[in-house]
Amino acid sequence: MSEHHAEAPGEQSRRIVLFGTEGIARELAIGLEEADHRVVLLGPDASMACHLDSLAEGTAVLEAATQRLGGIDAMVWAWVDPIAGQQRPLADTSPAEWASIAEEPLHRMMLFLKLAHLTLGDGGGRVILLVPSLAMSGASGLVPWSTVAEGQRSIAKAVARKWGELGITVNSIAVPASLLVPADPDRPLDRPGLPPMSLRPPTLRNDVAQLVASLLTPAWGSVTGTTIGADGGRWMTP
Amino acid sequence: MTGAAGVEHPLDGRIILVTGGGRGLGRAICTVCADAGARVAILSPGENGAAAAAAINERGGHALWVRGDVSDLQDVTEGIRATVAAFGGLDAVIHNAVGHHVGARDLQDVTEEAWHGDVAVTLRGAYNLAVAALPHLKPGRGRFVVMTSPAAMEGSVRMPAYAAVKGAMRGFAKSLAVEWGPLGIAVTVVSPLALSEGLAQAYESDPALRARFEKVVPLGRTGDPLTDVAPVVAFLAGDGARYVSGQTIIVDGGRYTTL
Repeated sequence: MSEHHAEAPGEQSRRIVLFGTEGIARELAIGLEEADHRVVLLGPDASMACHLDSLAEGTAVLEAATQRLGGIDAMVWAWVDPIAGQQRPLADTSPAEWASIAEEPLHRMMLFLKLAHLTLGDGGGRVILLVPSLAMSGASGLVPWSTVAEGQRSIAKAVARKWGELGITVNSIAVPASLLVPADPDRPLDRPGLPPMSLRPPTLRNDVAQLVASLLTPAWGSVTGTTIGADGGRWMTP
Repeated sequence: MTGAAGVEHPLDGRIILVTGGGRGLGRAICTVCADAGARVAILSPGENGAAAAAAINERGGHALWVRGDVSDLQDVTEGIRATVAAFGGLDAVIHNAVGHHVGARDLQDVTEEAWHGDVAVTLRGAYNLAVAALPHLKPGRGRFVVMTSPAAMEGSVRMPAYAAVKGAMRGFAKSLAVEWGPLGIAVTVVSPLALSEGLAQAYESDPALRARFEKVVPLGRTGDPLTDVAPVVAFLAGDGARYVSGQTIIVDGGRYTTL
């Protein structure tokens, strides 16, 4: 993985720190490296382990990542605990499960954004967050996950407004939930009745990573605070 | 429904629990719901809930104060039990309580304690209410209404933490609406632009603020909690709104027109 990337980067190469859970982050990293970017993974399963339990822990790990890359141009959030996708009625969700799926991830997101401010506040940069598109459509059995996902989109807009003056853009990419958690074909994660995808189903490595790479280019320099749907054209916002 | 005096009582026979009903918009919601015929239980941690209930009872309504912290599942369960015991059931929950721990603060200055305090009241409170209320809410009649904020949709420069929890409430409500739809229970969200205590103080300290603020509201004024916002919330608790679910109803004088 990118921790070992030592080749001289091309002109368009960006130094990216990718906070994420195993699988999602790895696929994205491979795709970004194929686009000639340098990536360091941080997360609970990464070789540079990070649990984001506290700002101090995150700061220490991020400093190490910064040293490894020689600076950071962008920070990407792709952190979804697989338990988020376990469908169960809210009434059958225990207080501990609620805290684990809704409250703790939202707190982790807040810490991630604090780290983004610390890291990019002086020179600007790009912040990109992956969210499940069910955040916008709603989904039965997934109330805690959609709670945190909409909270994530909302705080992204808030800091996008504030951090524009620092040269930091903050955007969300909405992807099919099935890209982020293990999916049972017999129990679709999306709510019933949604139209089918207009396009073929996207993949993290070949589609979403390329979209992230595109968001790092100057062409997207005036876009911030928005959510870009990358769900194959399924949920089309008004 | 029309009462004997020819006055419309669209919430006659409804039993509604309101959190944070002791002051401000919450108190206005309690008053309007009670005036519309509902029996109102006010779940709040402070004595202002008792004062709000007393004021409603003095004007001929039916209200009950239950002391409780919405972030505590035991308190919420007890509050609902007391409501059912006093009024004979539960038809609607209106989650209006909000934490005031973070306030207007840049994200990097948000403390852990303040963050968790606001999350507990708003988000854990919603979870607690939903779990405890569900056994009592009836098909076709059950309503669950949560309050959000323009900050949840537009982003807020001054209050990113508030934007996070209020945005999260919209995600909560949309999925709960999908989940509870087959049970015949409607879940809705209200985003008000109303004269809160905080906004009133801001107007007082900066007299020019009101004019600047109201200039961006097409209807040209700041919403009144009692006459502009609470009636919409009361409507959502009644029969007329039985086919409205999963939606965010924006009550802001036409300020936000994106959707």
